[in-house]
Amino acid sequence: MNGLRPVRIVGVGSPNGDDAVAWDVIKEALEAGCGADAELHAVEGGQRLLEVLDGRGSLLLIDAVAPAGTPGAVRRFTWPDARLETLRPGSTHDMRPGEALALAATLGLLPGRVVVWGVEGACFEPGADLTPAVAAAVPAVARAVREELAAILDEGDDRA
Amino acid sequence: MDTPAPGTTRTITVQALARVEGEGALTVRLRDGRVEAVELRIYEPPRFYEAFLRGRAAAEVPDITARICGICPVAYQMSSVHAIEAISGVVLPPDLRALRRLLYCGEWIESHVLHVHMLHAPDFLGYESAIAMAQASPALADVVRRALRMKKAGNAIVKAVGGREVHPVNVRVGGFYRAPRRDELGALLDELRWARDAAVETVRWAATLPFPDFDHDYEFVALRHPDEYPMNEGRVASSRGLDVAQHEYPDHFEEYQVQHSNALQARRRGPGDGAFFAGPLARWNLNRDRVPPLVADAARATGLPFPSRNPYVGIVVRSLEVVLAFDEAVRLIDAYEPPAAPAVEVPPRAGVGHAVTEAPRGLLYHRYETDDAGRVVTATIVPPTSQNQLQMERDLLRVAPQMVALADGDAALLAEKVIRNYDPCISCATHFLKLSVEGR
Repeated sequence: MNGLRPVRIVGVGSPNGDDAVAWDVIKEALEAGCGADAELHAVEGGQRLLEVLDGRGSLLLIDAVAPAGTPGAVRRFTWPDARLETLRPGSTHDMRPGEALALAATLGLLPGRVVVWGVEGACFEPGADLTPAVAAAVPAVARAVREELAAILDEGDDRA
Repeated sequence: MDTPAPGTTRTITVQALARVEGEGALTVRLRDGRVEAVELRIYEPPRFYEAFLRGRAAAEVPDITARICGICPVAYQMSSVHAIEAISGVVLPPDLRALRRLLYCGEWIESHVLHVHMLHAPDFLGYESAIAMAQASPALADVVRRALRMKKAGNAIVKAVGGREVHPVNVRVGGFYRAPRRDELGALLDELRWARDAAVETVRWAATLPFPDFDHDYEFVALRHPDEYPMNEGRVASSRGLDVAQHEYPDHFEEYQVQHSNALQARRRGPGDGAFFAGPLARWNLNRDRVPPLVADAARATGLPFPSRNPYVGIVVRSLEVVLAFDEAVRLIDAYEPPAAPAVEVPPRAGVGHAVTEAPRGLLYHRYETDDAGRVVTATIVPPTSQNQLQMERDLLRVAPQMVALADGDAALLAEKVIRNYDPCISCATHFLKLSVEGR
């Protein structure tokens, strides 16, 4: 076990329209075989995100972000980054993914490497499908996640 | 704050209540410095569950109603299966009954640990969130870290018995789709024993929090069982002498519509304003003689007077119920032998069935009428937050005079604290908060 593993790929979302984009990315990553080298989790809200973290390895996190006029736009962040506050709020009985990361950092549960992809959504209506522009972004995000995973695996031995 | 001039009005607004589940608002109207009205407005859209259950097979009901809430899906499953089984007169054998109680223990742990630490404790210590609380000191960080581990232990119970941690899928009318193997449950025991000790520590910590004096002569309503602390079974009892069978619930409680809310409210029938108090504090006050010795000892060690009429003490009672749930879980798993069959047959039948179970935040009533084919003709679901909503408004009326002297932000925070004592679940109630205080 080296400092970058285990790698946890976590999609935070819900079945509400574009909020499901991260779950679609997890599904693609699973179908692409990422499960052999990483733990994959599709979760609802920051609380569940917190529960899969233990301070070890790396976290690759995907989430929808609030609409800003360019649905489907993908932004990559590395923790810490104040812009992570833009990750969409979860249930009010829960915490935002950005808050979960901050709490994890306080409690020593945040891994050394945290990469976040935010996919800009447009519609968050319950039961709605992904809007076409957001659906079109899924393959590119899944590819970026796979490339990040590959880089971590390559780099891992050097960081052992 | 200055005395208002005659005829002046004041509006204090909190656009969204924090650290409650779902979307709602509160309006307090003040005229000439006096409280005119308090309205808990639930603007989360109605979800029409009772309507779209009509025509569905009774067997589908537990999985559909579980979707009402991501925090307490087990409660919806438990009330629904018991109500449907009541139509056919089926009573589950003791081993399946025990497995249902174990599943409910898991949900109580998940829900209570979340509320005690993440939602409620910051109110007592003056932090805006659990994150700020954890950042304040290493000791408080340890409290939150301990909470996360306890909650995971609760998750593990729900996953092992319910099939998965969120919206469990293993519950069916008549029992379960699959009974867990003994080794699957046995594997949880070491962590559950740690968590039981950790929960006792949590009670000690919670009992040191500063509790505002907020005693009131509430009517507490909860299930009461002859032998055990109630979860799935018992009569509907109150601190003012109500003692009725579950099917008599509608004779004593009614739902009604209020213009300011998308959620129906529930009240006691008969004289009085109908407000009553459901939830952990009610359960504890009516059933504290039914707890195992470990829980009784933990309660005694707090030095707090029980029964308690102070909603703020609810944080200690929830913590005690976490001890109870872990203790029960260990006991049930120690004694577990897989049942001969994971479910018993529940033949479809025309009729009416009622059930009340104890969701983490209080009584959850379900009533179903089915036809000869076992299809739902009518469904009625009364969640705990609907039942507590009127009492929350009454508590807000009591605290509103204090708000007059406070700045808007402080007044709103005080109101939110009063509401959070009840751990309201708004999504459940709309199957039910933003806060505004208006002055005139």
